[in-house]
Amino acid sequence: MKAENIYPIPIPQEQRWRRVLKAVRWCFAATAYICPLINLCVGGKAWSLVVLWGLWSVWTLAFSRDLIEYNRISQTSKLIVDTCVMLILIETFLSSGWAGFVVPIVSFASLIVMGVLFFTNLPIQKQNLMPMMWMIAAALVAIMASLIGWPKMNWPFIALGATAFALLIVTFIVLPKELIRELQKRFHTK
Amino acid sequence: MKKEKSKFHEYEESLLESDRLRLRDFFSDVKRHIMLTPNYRHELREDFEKAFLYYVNSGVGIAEAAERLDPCRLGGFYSRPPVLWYHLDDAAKIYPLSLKRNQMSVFRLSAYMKQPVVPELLQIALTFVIKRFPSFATTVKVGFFWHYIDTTKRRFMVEPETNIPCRPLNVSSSGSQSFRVVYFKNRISVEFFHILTDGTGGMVFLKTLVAEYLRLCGADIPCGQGVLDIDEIPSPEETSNDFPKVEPTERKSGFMGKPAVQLSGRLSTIKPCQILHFEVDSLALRSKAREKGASVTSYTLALLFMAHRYATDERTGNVQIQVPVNMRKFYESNTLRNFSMYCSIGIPIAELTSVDDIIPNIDRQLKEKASKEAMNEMMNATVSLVRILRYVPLFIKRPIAGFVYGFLGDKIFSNTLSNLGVVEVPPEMAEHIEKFDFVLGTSVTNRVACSMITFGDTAVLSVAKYTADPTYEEKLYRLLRDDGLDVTVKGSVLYES
Repeated sequence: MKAENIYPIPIPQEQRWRRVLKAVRWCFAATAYICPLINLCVGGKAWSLVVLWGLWSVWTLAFSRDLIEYNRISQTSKLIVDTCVMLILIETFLSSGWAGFVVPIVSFASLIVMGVLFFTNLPIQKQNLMPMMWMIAAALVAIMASLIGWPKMNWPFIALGATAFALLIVTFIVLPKELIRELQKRFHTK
Repeated sequence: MKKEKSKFHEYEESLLESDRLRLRDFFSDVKRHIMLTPNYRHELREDFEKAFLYYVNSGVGIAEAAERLDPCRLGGFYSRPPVLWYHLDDAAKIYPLSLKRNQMSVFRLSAYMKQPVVPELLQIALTFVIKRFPSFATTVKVGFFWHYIDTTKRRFMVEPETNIPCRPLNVSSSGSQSFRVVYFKNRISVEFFHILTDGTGGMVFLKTLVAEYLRLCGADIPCGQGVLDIDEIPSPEETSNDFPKVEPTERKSGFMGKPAVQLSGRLSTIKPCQILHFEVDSLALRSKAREKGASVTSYTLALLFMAHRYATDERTGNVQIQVPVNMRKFYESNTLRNFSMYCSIGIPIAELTSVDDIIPNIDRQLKEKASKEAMNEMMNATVSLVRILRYVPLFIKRPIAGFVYGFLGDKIFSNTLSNLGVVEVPPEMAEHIEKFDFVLGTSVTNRVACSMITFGDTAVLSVAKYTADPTYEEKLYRLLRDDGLDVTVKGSVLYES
């Protein structure tokens, strides 16, 4: 049975990239296996948990990107969450007493960056509103929790709350219809 | 790029003042219709310039070129902000949930023209046509309960075909296309993410695109027979989810089943690893099927069952072939979204003795399982499942669906045969087309996925392979030849070394 070829020969580069990705995956998997093993054997602080989270963050942000909604806003929000979790893990397992100060500083600075990334490319990014709204909501929940008593209120939390609220107001003013539409889209149940 | 642009300016400068003014009016009219980001505006303008240069080099005058490329055909699509969005139809909901790297439900429809494709005109054709298919001009997004598709306003592009057919589409970036239009020699192909449409809806898109392309080439192609009028406003029925139309049934049939017998070849890492097209005279095929007392689908299924028998080392178990059923034949529907269910035709491997022996069994099963009642039961099960899960957040549904799909996947089937039937187009269009073909690009466990389409004298049975083992297609070829059918085999190289 002879088959006449009627398709082009594929580009080799894409297949090379697959092999590179496979090699990187194995390196990450090996590191993820070895580090906890060493940590358990040697004992001491649970530094391997920090390493595991770091590996996961780097893998999901750099190598295994999201298959749906991979844009500057969603990735910035992912980076913020990953960084905050990393800082909390370091605080919990390695050295304590500073996360309540540092995490809100990192968060409000990142919110400002996210706001800049959003509003400087509005025609495209207005359809990627929701990841930023989730960050704003999380920040507002954090400031309200801080008002109740935990975590301890300090100036970074006040800055975080103020930044989130300001971003929310600006969004309401600039994109009122888009915001309503976006909420309808994101929360539809059909 | 710069070279071609300066070519256009050189051409512009060589014109008489009156023609130059006409050209400038034309492009300012184009500009009025396009209010996208500067990059897209620039690219679309370049598309029109390239099309103009093509016409000039082909001896078409400015007036004629300007008429064929009339900017009014852009409509308001590129000048209005994106406000539309669509829920996924009930069949489409599984596709983003089961999405993995290198695993995406994609299918491909191709039209083979009698002349080599002119890329400049194909690009303009797509630019004009997309407004008529608003649910195709979308990107998939993540909601809290379900995914949805959101309108994207951009330059939808046509690419030369340089890669493996049916490879996954990049739907992650803002405004990314959920379909792909490629060309190679005389072939125009459209690859669809199944979230958008099924074979029937996809064929309407391809026919309309090809018709517009032929009009730009100078042919006079009327609308009708699946060719839509691109200047008509899309009707809401074309984008509706018609699954809830189903008549209620007492019983609801499920989706579970025992694992089916798979081909014994090793699953390839590149998917698909080869595409093969078996071209047969459609009249001869129909006549052979009638001679055996079967429909074309039943006869083809019998061949696939027997080919499967020879390509597996298993001696027990059932060979199950999934057969999609177009629900439009049971319900009045103009939807271009998914509106198909499937049935499963199964025969124990020990009973696969000969084509003639198994045809009556296949016929009986098709009549029973592809009936309206059976399809209604399955549709009701689908609609019920969607209703039960509607308030479950996606972050809970997604990993569970991913696990279930990964665990079960297509294990309950050995193969698929999707028969789109006879393609009809206006006679004025048919004279420019050689044939169509249809390729299924989805498989998790199955080593093959088959599909069939007929146009004029040519029936094309396509086999997308997920194993390098050649036994299956070699047996299929022998079976066709043994039945006296003259088969021409075309396809791709084996992508997996």
